[in-house]
Order: sequence, then structure tokens, then C-alpha cells
Amino acid sequence: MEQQQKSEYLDDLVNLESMFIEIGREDGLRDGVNSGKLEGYILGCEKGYEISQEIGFYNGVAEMWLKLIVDKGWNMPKKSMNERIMKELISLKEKISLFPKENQQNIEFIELLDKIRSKYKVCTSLLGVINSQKFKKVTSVEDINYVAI
Amino acid sequence: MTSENDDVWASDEDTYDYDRMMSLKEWDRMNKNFGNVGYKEGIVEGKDVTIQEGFNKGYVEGVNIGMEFGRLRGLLNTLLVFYNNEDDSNNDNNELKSPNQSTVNELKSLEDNLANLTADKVFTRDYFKANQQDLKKQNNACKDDCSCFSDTLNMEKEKDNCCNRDITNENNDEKIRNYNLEKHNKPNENLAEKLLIEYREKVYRLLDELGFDMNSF
Repeated sequence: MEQQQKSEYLDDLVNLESMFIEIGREDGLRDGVNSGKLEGYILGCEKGYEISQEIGFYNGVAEMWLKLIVDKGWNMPKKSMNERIMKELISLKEKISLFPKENQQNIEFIELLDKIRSKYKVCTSLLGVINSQKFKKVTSVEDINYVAI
Repeated sequence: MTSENDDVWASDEDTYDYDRMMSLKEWDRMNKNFGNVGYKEGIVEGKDVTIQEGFNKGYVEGVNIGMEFGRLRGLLNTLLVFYNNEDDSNNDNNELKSPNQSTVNELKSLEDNLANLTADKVFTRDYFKANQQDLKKQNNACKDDCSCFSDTLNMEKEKDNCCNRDITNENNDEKIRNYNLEKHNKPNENLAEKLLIEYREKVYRLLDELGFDMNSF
């Protein structure tokens, strides 16, 4: 009889522990949900900014070269190349316009990024500026799509 | 005759008080220790729930701003490369002649600024603070001219009013700081966008000087 009572006391004590843990957990959950929103938002801003800065750079480059050729009448050293480079620049801009504005958790996104980069290389190489006109700071793609916790 | 209270030796009641005090202490200790353990578990679990959602939201904002900052730099970078490569003597097109050195320098420094504009310079602490304020306001019913929000000293008394329901866990100092921040930054003002507009004006003005009409894009 006494033995049984003792074990009941022990149960109560264990229950008390888990009760305190549960109460703490609820508070933590609430705060975690809130801070997760903010932390995720900050991380998303950074990653989205970094990757799109590069794409935007290519966009601006294509835009300005087209302006020089079309609006200002600048010619390639070989005039016959004009049409070719314009075609490539326009194609680069088209690819950039396909670039998703939202976080895409798929492989196509990375493929598109590679296509844009190589098209940019084709353009700058035709223009003879492949070594002087670079975005330089290249961010890695792998950590953009998924949040590592 | 002595009363029980004058007894210098421990009475039953004293032992009872002592036990009670000790058990209260023990209770508090357990509350603190196990509460902390639970809190740590909860916070990790809670973050798991919302971090991806937050990331996706932030990503959209980051892409919108970054795309345009990158574009502005690309425009300037192309001109720098172009003027650098172009040999004026072979160029009969007056419009494409290299500008004077001071304009080139201006071009260079602006392009450099844009190249060094990392995410933390665009999305500053204040940007996220203002952003959070906006979120809080969306959750609460009242606007910033609500009397209960401006009267920070009465906040303790009115814990259940429309503004305070979600922020009762902040201490008063923090409330006042947030309130001052809100007064300082206009509501709904996007600091990253503001910076972008400033830069766009600078870039377009410089390009205009060089004879490029940016409004035609």
C-alpha cells in the first residue's frame, strides 16, 4: 500500500516536469513562429537580392549595348556582325524576362540561370569585351532554393 | 506564560513554514529549468513552421529590388567599357565620343557604388524594423493615430486594448522605441525602394548628360 503511494508521488513529480516542459514549449513555439517569419524574410531578401543583382546586371548590359547599336548607330568592327550581335542580345533579354520572380524550388531555375550566364558570355565575346565586362561576384546557386536550418 | 510566537525553539508551525518555503523554491527552480528546456525545443519547432514561408516572401522582395539595382549597374558598366575601348579617332559619330574626364570619373564612382551595394546595405536593420511594424499593424485593427498607441504610459493598464494585444510581451522601453521609430519613418515607407529610387535618379541624370534618353525604354 505504502509502496503504491510512493510510486504515485513519483509519477506526480515526473508529470510536473513534463508539465513545465510543455508550458515552456508552448511559449517557445509562439516565439519561434514569429522569429522564423522574420529570420526567413531576412534570409530571403539577401538571397533573392544577390542572385537577381547578377541577372539584372546582364539585363542592363544588354539594354545599353542595344541602345548603342540601335539608337546611336554604333557599328561592330565588322559591320556584318551587327545583326548577329543584336540577335544574341535580344535573345539574352528574352531569357532574362523568363527569370522567375518567386522562389522556385526546382531544377529548371538553375538550368535557366546557366543558360543566361552562357548567353551573356556569347554576347560579351562577340563584342570583344569578355575579359573586361564581368559581373565578378558570383554567388553559388545551391544555397538559394532551400533554407538550411 | 509564553505564547507560541515567543518560543525560541522550532515549533510545528515553523517547520511547516520552512517546508513550504523550500517547496516553493523547488517549484520555481523546476519551473525555470524545465521551462527553459521546453522553450528551447519549442523555438526550434516554431521556426521550422514559418522560416520557409518567410524566406519565400523575402525572396520576392529581394528579387524585385536586386534586379533593378543590377540593371542600373549594367547600364553604367557598359558605357565604361565602351568608352574605354572606343578609339575616338576612328569614330565619326559625334554622339559616341568619350565625354570629359570628370564625367567618366562620375560614371566610374557611381558604378563602383552600385557594385559594392551588398544586401545588408540595401536591406538594413531599419528596413526590417519598419517592415515588422507594418506586419503588426496589419494584425491589429487600429491605425497609427489611435489614442491607445500614442499613450505609451498607459499601456500597462490597458493590456487588452486593440493595439497592445500582440505586444504585451515587449517591455515598455521597447514599445516606446518602436513607437519613435514609427514616427520617424513614415508608415508603409519601403526604405530599400527609397534607396533604389535615389540611385535610379542619379543614374538617369548622368545618362541624360551623356545623351541617353532613358525614358524611351
